[in-house]
Amino acid sequence: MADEKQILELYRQEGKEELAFNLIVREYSERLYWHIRELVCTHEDADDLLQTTFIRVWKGLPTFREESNLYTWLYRIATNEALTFLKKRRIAKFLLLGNYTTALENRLKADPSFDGDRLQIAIRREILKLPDKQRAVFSLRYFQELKYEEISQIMNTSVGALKASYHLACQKIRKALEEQF
Amino acid sequence: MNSRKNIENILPKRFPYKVPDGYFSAMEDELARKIKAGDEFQRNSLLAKLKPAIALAATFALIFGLGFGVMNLTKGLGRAGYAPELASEMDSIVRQEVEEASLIETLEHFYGQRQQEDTLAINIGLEEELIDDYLLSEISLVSLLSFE
Repeated sequence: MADEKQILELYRQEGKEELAFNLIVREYSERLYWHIRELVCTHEDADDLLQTTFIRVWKGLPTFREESNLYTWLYRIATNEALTFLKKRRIAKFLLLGNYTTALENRLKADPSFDGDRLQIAIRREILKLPDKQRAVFSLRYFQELKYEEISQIMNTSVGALKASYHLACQKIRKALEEQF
Repeated sequence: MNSRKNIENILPKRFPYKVPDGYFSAMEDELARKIKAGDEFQRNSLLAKLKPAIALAATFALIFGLGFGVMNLTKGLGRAGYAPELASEMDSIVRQEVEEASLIETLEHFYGQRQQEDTLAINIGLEEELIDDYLLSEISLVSLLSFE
């Protein structure tokens, strides 16, 4: 497992940029993929967004000033990409008089790559009902197990607001499940 | 913290989705290909080739636009910029006024005003004593002699 400082030092060496970038991809692609997939549900969308994220990373690396950790910067780009994507999709669906959350739920049910029982489907459906930003906070905290301070850098939100958002998300999911099961 | 514990009891952290086999291992090559293709496209695209010419043309257009704008804004300065319609309207009003007023009234009015102006001129004239006082107090003798 390569240390992010080592990767950045390697990147600064002439002719080693691509090697360093490949190390970043190798190191973080899986974590970023699952975070994006949590938000957008389908593999195709997650794949597109992950590739866009890494292309942005490649373009942004020369100006990366190390004011934050490399991985929080990567998560920030991935989260922003996913949230922008969701916003566009929601607007498009709204203009067609539809609901994107319902569409996501339907896609989840029909997704052949979804490997879960009835309870799992119900939980995922409840997570999908959360507002996009709250879902991102939930994903970063619960699945990615990041600290609130790190999420604060990623989402550009105060730690207090993040704690409240996460707590509220947990309550919503629990309550919905209690009603169903 | 409490809510987190409760959620953990029912929500496993394992992702219930599957990804195609070898997806992550192929990611590096896929990205390298895309980045190279993007760079190539940027280098070869017509827009990239025309960029310097477009920038130059845009600069000229901007300078021309600014110059034109400034000229338009300052066009009316230094001369009467009446519109032809306004000028003819003013002419007709003046003509009508002249016709209505008699020549005698006009002359009386003119000379009356002139007389008033002359009176005012006399009233605001300086008295000789004041001029003498000023010359004696403010101007030196040498200067006074030099006037002669």
